[in-house]
Amino acid sequence: MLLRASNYMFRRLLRGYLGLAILVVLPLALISVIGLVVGDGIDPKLGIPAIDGVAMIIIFAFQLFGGNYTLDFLRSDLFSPRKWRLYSLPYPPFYHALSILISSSLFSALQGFAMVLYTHWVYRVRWGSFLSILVLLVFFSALNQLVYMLIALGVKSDKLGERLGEVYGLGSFALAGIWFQLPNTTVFNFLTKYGNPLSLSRNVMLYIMTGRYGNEALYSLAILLLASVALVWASIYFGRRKLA
Amino acid sequence: MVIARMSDVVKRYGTHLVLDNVSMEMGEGEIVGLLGPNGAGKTTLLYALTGLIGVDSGEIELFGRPLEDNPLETKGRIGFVTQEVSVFHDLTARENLEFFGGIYGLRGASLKQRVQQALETVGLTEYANRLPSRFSGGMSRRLNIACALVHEPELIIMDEPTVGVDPQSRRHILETVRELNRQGTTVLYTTHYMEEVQAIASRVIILDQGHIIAEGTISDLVEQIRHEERIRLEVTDVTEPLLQNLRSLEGVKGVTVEGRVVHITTQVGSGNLDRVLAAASKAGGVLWINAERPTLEDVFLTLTGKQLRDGGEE
Repeated sequence: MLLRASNYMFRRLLRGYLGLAILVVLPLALISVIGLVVGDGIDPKLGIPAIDGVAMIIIFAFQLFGGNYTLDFLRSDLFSPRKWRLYSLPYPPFYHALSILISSSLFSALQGFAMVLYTHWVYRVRWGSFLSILVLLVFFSALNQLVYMLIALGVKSDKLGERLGEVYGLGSFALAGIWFQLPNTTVFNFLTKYGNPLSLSRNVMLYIMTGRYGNEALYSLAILLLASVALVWASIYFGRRKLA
Repeated sequence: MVIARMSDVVKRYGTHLVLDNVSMEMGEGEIVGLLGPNGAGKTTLLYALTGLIGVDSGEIELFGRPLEDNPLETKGRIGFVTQEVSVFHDLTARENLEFFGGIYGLRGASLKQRVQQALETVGLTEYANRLPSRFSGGMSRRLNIACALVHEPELIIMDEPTVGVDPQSRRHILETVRELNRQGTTVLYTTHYMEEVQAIASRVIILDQGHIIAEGTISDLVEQIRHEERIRLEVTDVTEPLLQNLRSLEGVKGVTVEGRVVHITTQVGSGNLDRVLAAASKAGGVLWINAERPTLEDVFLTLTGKQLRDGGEE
């Protein structure tokens, strides 16, 4: 039943053309424009071609907003008057929430993977193992969907939910030092390296792309795993209260 | 066989008593019309009956078993048409039906067949592969109904299924309800449209302020107020002396005005029409006059003191 529901959820996601435009077309356009600016240069910090670093950061940065799929579908299906129809089915509502989570995670990850393939073929970005990247994308995407699911379950106001999603995405940008350099202190250095999901996924990505930075990748993976476990636990706790 | 039974059900929202010791039964094969003014508790009653909300006290049985015994199995035998159109606008009509049918356990060839039948029943076969976002309001409502009957439920609960639809779709929906009933489906039908209940219901329940204030067949209910007669009169000018004349007539119980039409409720008796005509003629020009037998609308008005359609949704 879960697979069947997820299948239809996936079709709904495929027809969300606005989402495709914002989460696929826009990042590819940004990669193209910034790629033109950086040219064939090497990123001095990471020691990889600048276009590779740009593609990696932009693709993963936009993944942070993929959780909007979960937020939107949860709201429209389970927190609107439509919920009574779904509640009247011989199908526990948390199954529906789970189908949204699974489909949105896979869909968002596949969007990211499509961009990975595109940048590999068009810009010759060296991604390393595609399988490892796909696994990381699925994992990272699920984490982001869980964050947005928690927002949907924990916040009543739609507007506040949207704002919190933006704070999560843009806050991760800021903490990762994408927009500006954070002060050179121990705390900020830690936050920039391990204190946000974007940096954590970047650390793992760098290992996949270069085979270097193994320790950072390991720590980052451990933190991401712990965060996921905490998010799953919190989602179950709030979900039981709100979807009972 | 009794399909649904509520016994002394009480439901409160905070301190507001929404269902006050409601007891009712529905027999197999009935079409029960549930009527009530806005805020009477109709939707709450439907939600309570289907286990969508808990009740504070009382017992609910569906298909001869307490509701809490196996709620998922019980839900599988019900089709619920919500007041809101609850289809997915990003799935085609066929996909919507496949989704709902699949949740009800239909698979493979039987799912395909039931989807096709449901589309035919509501007259949407031609539009099966279109997205409901391109449908008219009436077509969306018909799809909403199709999603509730795709699994051939034993009991269909319809919460104002014709709100905002065109007359053609309304006729189609009412005919669908009759056809389903002919096939043996029991129907609980809530509406603001008295004529729909008169057209399809075999029995009527009137709910007001959380109480069931009357129930029975339409003729039973009309019989209850046969002691009254309604006279309608259109005059060139509604004046206060005219109204005073009418109110002072023997047997007149009430006079209300709607534009140039005066509604007079009198006790049943001979000569009412003549007396009203004489009184009205004295005060001005009479355009037409007629006496009406009581209708379900009159029953409703008499019992609740309210018009059925007096504003927004419940």
